[in-house]
Parts: sequence; structure tokens; C-alpha cells
Amino acid sequence: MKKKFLAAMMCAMLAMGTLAGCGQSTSSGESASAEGGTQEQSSDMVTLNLYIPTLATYSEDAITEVENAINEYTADTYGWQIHLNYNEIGTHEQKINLAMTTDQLDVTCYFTGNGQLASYVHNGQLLDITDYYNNASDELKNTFTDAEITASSMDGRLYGLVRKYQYGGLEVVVMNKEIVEAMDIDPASIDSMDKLGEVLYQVHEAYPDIYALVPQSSADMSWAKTWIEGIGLTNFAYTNDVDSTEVGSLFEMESFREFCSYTNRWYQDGLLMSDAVSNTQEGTDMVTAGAAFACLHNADIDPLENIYPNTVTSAVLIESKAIPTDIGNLQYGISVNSAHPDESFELLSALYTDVQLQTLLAYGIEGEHYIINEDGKADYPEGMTAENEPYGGFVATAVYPNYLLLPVKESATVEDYKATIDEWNASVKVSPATGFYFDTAEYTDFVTAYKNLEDKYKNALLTGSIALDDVLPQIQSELTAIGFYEVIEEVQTSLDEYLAQ
Amino acid sequence: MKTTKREKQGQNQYLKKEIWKHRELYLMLLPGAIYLLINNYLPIGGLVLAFKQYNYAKGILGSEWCGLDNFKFLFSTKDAALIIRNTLGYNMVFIIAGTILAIVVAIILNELRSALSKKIYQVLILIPYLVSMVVVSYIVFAFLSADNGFLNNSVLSEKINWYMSPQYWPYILVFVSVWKSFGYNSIIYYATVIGIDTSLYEAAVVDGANRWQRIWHVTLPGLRATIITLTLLAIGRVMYSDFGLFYQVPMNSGLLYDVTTTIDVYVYKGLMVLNDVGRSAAAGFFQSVCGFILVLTANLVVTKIDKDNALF
Repeated sequence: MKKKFLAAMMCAMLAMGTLAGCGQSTSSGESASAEGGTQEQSSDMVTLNLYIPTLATYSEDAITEVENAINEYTADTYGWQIHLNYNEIGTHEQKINLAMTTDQLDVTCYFTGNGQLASYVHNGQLLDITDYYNNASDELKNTFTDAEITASSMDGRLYGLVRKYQYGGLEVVVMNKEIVEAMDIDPASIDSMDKLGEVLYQVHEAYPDIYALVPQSSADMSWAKTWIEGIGLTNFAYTNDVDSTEVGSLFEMESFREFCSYTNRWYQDGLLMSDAVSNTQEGTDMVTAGAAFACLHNADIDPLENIYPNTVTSAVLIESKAIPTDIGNLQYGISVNSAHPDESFELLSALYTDVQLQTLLAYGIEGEHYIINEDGKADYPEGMTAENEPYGGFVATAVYPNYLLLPVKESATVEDYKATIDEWNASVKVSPATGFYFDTAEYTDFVTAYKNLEDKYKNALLTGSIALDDVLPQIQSELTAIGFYEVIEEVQTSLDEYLAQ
Repeated sequence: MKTTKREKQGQNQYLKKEIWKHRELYLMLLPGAIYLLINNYLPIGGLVLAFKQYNYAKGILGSEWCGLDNFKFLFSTKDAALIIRNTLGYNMVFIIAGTILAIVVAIILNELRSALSKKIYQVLILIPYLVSMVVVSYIVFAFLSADNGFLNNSVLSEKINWYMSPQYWPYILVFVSVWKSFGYNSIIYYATVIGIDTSLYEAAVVDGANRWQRIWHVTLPGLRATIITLTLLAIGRVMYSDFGLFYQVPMNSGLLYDVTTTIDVYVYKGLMVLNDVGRSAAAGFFQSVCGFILVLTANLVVTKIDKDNALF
């Protein structure tokens, strides 16, 4: 009888185990959410699910604590509460895509760097917030520039709000500081690919055992480019530079050819990493560790030396410029399946205008996760660093909607975030194609085929692993086979019409 | 013959009694049955997505029907022939090479006399099966890296940039796949081999059969049912591919796409751009239907040759 009872119990436990995976997702290894916090949430009050990606490590206890503090404030001020859902940045898109099929997501951060806004709108995932925005407070409206509103709009309708950040990016070279000092290299003199080449050859001769140049990230040679991608929020239309309005194939852009000719020469001469196409490391990690001398890198107002120890930065190689996919390439929007769209827009609006809410969300609880020091600047509490601070927001401030509202950090290189960003944004060249949207709904098969084609050659060419002239005829024949030239002609016609308006 | 009400009641009572009598067995069945229901049967309803232009706002039922449009992307470009060739070609080679190797290893294990050696070898050959494909990709990279790889630095006199040379990858992928899976399959075959009636071997010895003849005339016929079952199951998945093997192991190197892009990899890349779940469902549906037809056909062939060993 004992055995039977034991067998029955074990079976029942197995059955329970089978069911354990079902139901609403909860915080697990790679996703942290404040489950405990729900206990303190009032059942008769609307609770809004907010999804945020992060690179930092958050502890669940800290999230719960911050969530409770936020809810105490929002319940009194707005009459609703929030539920915080943090996702690792690598899985964030997949998680919000799933959550958006239900009413378990209200407000979310989403990426637009690869033109995802068009997919979200086309799939009906994001709520059209144009009317909400038009009726919103002036404080909210004054938060955004025209370029920022354009960047989160399609066909004149607004679908989200861009994260307040400097837009556009310039390109520099990040170099190993010890080698720069040992060889007496003047970083400020490196302001072109030719100058960079001269230095790379010298370094290669002096340090033949390390890579002179490595990709910025994995097989991606550089995030900042002279050519402009994402025209019309597509993944296949490019212009040669920020001023150009002539769209075409990436592989036929003069600026692309010029870049590839440099890298191919360096690759042939052994300056560039042989394993570049299969590389999985970050370039800056290798430069910092002394395994490589340099990598190309995008830059903005924050000096890269502050982020990457043991490095120095060159002069600017490519001046800052912006296209829709660059401007606020993180945005915040409302899921079309949200059960509480009115409250969700209130939350969205508060995330950009409410200093107390934004500070709680980004920095956590004062005295516990951060302090305000004698200079009035935010810093870690004594004994805490980025590694052991339990609520990771302080180190990952950039993912939050409006970090310009936050107290300036002790480590900041500027005294006033907002003034600096405004000055930066005013100096950035914005592509005339900004705001142009080409509807790819009828070309989805082509978009898939093109993505495969571009992925096949792009990184190999940019890393110089193969020569453009060797593969261009093949690429052109493949482009012809998938109907690229017919589609790009239609994009050109649509862009011309848009510009004529 | 019509069943009377009383007979029906009798049958129901008998059924209830039988269930109660074997309640422990039914309870043991329960977790597996629930698992199958939730993971294999409930999602079948989602197949409707394959025929819909899915819109998040309208939901599955509210989204518009789009006929076979979602299936077109698999066949509308020149990549169609390539991805189907790769998927089918690799799977056929995996089935043949994997089966032969697994049987050979199972027989060798059976021929070993030392029980300890048998256990050690079983563990060793099973380890690759338990290793994640991401880890495998880095093991392969440690061998094939152009700069620091074992092959380029210790074996070959001339450096090969493996991740830029598609001609080698069909062999590399077959090797990796077979290396990873043969241990698991060989243990299934080994379990069958040790179940073969030992009197058959004794009789063969009495008849003067040498070791090779015993294997050929006793062991292999004894394995026939298992070989057919496992092969039929493998044929059912011949349109699927191990995403990790074809995406992670080649480090997603673009220059290798012609020999590494299978249906699953193609669909993944397409989805990363468009986030179109309808197409993903269509691709999965297409793979399932093809697998179903292939299993039926293969089973029909088996029925014609050897009815006893057919699956159904």
C-alpha cells in the first residue's frame, strides 16, 4: 500500500510539474519582473504592464521594492499602478512580440534601429496614439523635436514616442592606450581612413602578434557608416550619403565601395582579423585587453574612454548624421491589445514628463540604490558599484524614456544633460528622406529574399574578407533574380513624390 | 448488431472497473497524456494562422484569410530550390550515416566483454548528445578558427579560412551532426541487441558461424524492427532541420549560406525582419504535411516488403 501511495504521489507531482510551465510567464533566469510586488497592488486599481529591455543585472527583490515605491506614488497621483517587466536586451523583442498578442502588455520599449517600426505598424501591434498626443499637455509636446515625432510616425500617424537621447552618431576609432603611448601616436591626427591605414601598418609592424583592426561587434565592422540605410523604413533601400536622395543597392554605393576597398586591402595585408566573418567578440573587449589595437566605433556626447578602460579615441572619421532609424532608435509605445489604452497613454506621458516617476524608475530608491551627493549629483551609495547595486537602472539609464529629467550623475561629463543634447541634436545633419515611408506590405517575399542576400555578402565585404569587385557581378545577378531593381525603382518614385510634397 | 442500453451500461461499468483496477498505471500515463495534449494537440488549432494575414489587433479569428499567400515566400524566389535541397539532402545523409554508425557502435558495444568498459563507452558516446549546440559551435570554432584553430595551426601546412569556404561545410555539418547524435541512437540499438534471444547466438555457434556471420545472420535481422521504426520516425522530420546546427555551428557566416540555409534558417531570418507569424505557421504546416506524407509513403513501402514491421 505504501508503494502504491508513493507511486501515486510521484505521478501526481510529475503531473503538476508538467503543468508548471503553463500559464503566465514569470520572472526566470533571463527575465526579471516584480512578482512579489503584485501582492501590494490594489485589486480594484488598474495595473499597467511596462516592458523595458536591459543589459544590466536586476535583482527581483530590488525590482519589487522599486515597483512598490512607484505604485505608492502613481496610485496617489494618477490612480493606477504599474507592473515592471525587465527583459534581457537579446530576448526583449521576442518577449514583447508574444506579450503583444495578449492584454498582458500595456506600454513597452521597442527597437527601431532596423526599421522594425514598419513591421509593428503593419502587423497591427502598436496603438495609433495620434489623437492622444494631439490632446496631450504642452509639456509633453514640447519634449520632442519635429525630427523625433517624424521618427515615430508612419504615414502621418504617431505610433510611439522616441526615447530622449542624442540622435545620429559619428564614427571614431577606439585604440589601445598602451600601444598609442608606446608608439607615440597622436589620436587627434587620425581623421580619415587613409590616416588610420598609416597607423595600422605601423602598429602591425611593431606588434605582429595582435590584430591591428577588429570588427566593432561580432562580424559587424562598424555601426556608423557613410551610406544611409533604412530609407523608407525598409531594409533594402540605401542612399550614398546623408544629402543624397537617390536610392539604390548598398553594394553599388560609391561610399560602400570606398570603405570596402580600404578594409579589403588591410585584410589582404594581415591587418584585419582573419576570423572577422565568424567573430563573436566585441571589438572594444579585444582592444581593452590588448588582443587588438583598434576597432571602428560609433560615438556621441559621452566620451568612449569613460566606457572602455585602457583606450583612447581618434578624431572624427565620419561626421554625425541622422535618419529615422537613428533618431531615438528606442521608442516607447502602447500595445494595440492593451485593455487600458487611456491609462497607458497617461503612463507613457508621465514617463517623459514626471521627474519623480522617471527618477524612481531609472535610479531606484534614493539612499538605497543611489544617493544625491553634496554637489547635488547622483552617485552610488557608499560601497556600491555598478557590479553590486541591486537595482540595475543607474548603470543602464539610457534605456529609460527621458534621462534628461534625471539628476546629473557624478560621473557625467556634462553639467546639463538637456542643454548638451539640444546642442548636439541641432548640429546633426538629418537625411531629407526622414519621414518617408515605403509600404512593403506587397513585397514581403522580396524583403525576406533580400535579407538573405544582403546577409550573405555584407559582413564579408565590410570586413574586407572578400573583394567587392570579385563578387559584384554575382550580387547583381542575384539582385536581378529577386526583382530588386524593379522594387527600388518604385521606392525612388515614391521618395521623389514625398520630397516633391 | 445493435447494442442494447443494458449492454452499454455493462460496458461502461466494465470500463470503469478496469480503469480503477489499473489506476496506478493510468496515473502514470497522466503526465505524459497532459503533456501531449498541451504541447502537441492544443497548438494544432494554431494552424489556422498559416492561412491568415495575422493582425495583432484583430487576433487569430478576426484576422483576414489570405489563402495560400503565406506559403508563397517559401517557393517564390530562387532560394526555394536551395533551401529544400539543403533540408532534404542533409537529412537523408544524416539518416543514412547516423543509422549505420549507431548500429556499428551498438554491435561493438555488444561484443565488448568487460561490463565496466561498456559503461564507460556508453557514457562517452552519449556526452555529445547532451552538449548544447551553442557549445558545439565553439568547439568546432576551436578546431576551425583561421587564426587560432587547431587544424590550421597543428595539422595543416597551408591555412584554410574555413568559415569562408562553403565547399567544406557539407562534410563538416554531417560530421558534427552524426558525432552529436550517434551515441543516443546507438544506445537505443544496443538495448535491442541485448534483447535478442541468446539461444539464437548459441545455435549459430553450434552451426559453426563465426563472429561476422553471427552479426550478419542474427544481430542485424534482430535489429530490423528498430531500424525501420527509427528510420520512419526520422523520415517524418525530414523537412525539419536542427536550427542550432545550421545557424550556430557555421557562426552565421554569410558566405556559407548556400550550403547552410535550410527551411528553418530561412524562415527565422525572414521572421527577424517581418515578424510575420503567419508565414512561420505556414512553413511549419508545410514541413508537417510533407513529413506526414513521407511517413505514410515509407510505411506503405515497408508494408509491401515486411508487413509485420510496419508502424501501422
